Amino acid sequence: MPDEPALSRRSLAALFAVAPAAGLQAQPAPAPPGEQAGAAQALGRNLEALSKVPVPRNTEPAFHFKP
Amino acid sequence: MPTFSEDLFFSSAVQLNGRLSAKEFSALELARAFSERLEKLGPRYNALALSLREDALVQAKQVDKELKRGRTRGPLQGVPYAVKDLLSTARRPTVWGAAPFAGQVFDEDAAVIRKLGKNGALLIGKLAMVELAGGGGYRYPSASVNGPGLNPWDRSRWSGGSSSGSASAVAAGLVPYALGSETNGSIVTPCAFCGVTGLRPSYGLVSRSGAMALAWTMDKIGPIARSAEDCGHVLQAISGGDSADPGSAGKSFRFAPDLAPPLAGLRVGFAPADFDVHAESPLRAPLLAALDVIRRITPQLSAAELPDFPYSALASTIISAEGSTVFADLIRSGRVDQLADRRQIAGLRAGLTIPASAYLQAMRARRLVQQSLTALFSSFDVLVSPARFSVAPGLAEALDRPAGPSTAGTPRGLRALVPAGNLAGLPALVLPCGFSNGLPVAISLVGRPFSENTLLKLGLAFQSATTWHTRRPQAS
Repeated sequence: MPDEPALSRRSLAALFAVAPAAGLQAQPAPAPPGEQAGAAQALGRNLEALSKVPVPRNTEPAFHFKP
Repeated sequence: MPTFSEDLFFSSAVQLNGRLSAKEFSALELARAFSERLEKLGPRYNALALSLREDALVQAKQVDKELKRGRTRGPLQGVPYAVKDLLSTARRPTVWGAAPFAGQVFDEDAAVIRKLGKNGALLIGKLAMVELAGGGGYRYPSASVNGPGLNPWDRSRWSGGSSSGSASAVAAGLVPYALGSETNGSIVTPCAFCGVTGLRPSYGLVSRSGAMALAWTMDKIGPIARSAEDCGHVLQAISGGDSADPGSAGKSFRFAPDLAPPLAGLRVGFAPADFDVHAESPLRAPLLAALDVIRRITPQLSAAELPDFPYSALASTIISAEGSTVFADLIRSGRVDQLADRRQIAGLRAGLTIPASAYLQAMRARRLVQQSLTALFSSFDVLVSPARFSVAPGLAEALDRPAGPSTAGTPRGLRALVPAGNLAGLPALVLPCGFSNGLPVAISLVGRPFSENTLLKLGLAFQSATTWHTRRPQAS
């Protein structure tokens, strides 16, 4: 909503003014191929662990989850 | 404007409201003082995402008029607070801690902010968080557009995530209380690392309307405060059914610890191995001392153990599948590469590859987890465990490194209570219980769904018997 007066330059400036505090601002950094492979391996380990859970055939997923 | 002492900034919300009622100062003066402190010291901890000082001062004047007319709206009236920048604020930026969403603006306040407004609470700012609440899994504390959350007890340590700024701002006395959110540890962890009290509500008790979704079936919003008492009052204000939140349980919460079961009759479960084996050595003394305090309050302590499930794998799979679906457009557009943490970017991409059958299998196994924990809670009313098994890590430490020495062959204990409790939607109360090498240590109380008053009653008794929740770092 860029034409909204309440969203002033000052508000945006305030937002970005605090971002680089402490000189520790993070830099955008695409995931390199090795990182992607690592994430895929971690996912694979999770799925393998899951596959070992003995789930009775008539167990429904916890959709519409309610505690 | 009166001169406010350092003590005032570490007062509880209830205490501040009492002093407002006694006309020691006005809501306007209080809001201005906290706003100045938040703006001045928030950046010191990378805690501040956006100051809302001007809006708060307008609201404060209104509250002062009400107080003058004798209209009271409860213990949060006129008391400043701040929220995790995961909650929308009308016509003000809501960035979710993530560079790709810089400048994002919504039309409405989140439901919880509207509710607190009706209680006369004064929103003075939005607080930093881990980008996208860390849904892709992140490696370093620097995974935020605001930089790493710095711990007020030691700025070379992390404040925890993903509610980083909410916990550090309360710990440093920048706000009396804040709202955070938890999908899988995001209230428990920063509260433990920063030494503040936090309440993760039962799933569905607090509306998430206007909150960033990470995992629809696991997201919760809750208070981070200076005491269990304040947590109870805030939860009462923000709870309640909401048709705008499909996960809403349609329940409200009335803070009434006196109506909870007598403490002497509570059956409390704990796992000795959590305290003797799983917790890192320097934490054991304060944790065991906390257990002794609990034992004096509720003598019926006995050993408990979580049922055998791969809780972390289950929670990770569900969060990854739901989170990557939520952010599918971001991922496919390539804008995901603007995120700060490379592990997080990779994790979000990987999440899109989870087969539907794997997600369904995880949700079926989750049903078994729920059933098993329901059975466990037929023997116990409350489970107590270390909130975290180590103190806040250094800023350069990888967060996805293997945790501590191998515990193969040792009892399971309750070590996986964070993912287990989140999978089952259970409430948790985090209570500071001491220090290890100058860094906070905390215990966690977990109960049945919607047993918040029981947890708070025990928490109130614990905080009456100890002073750890009143300790404060050298903030200024």
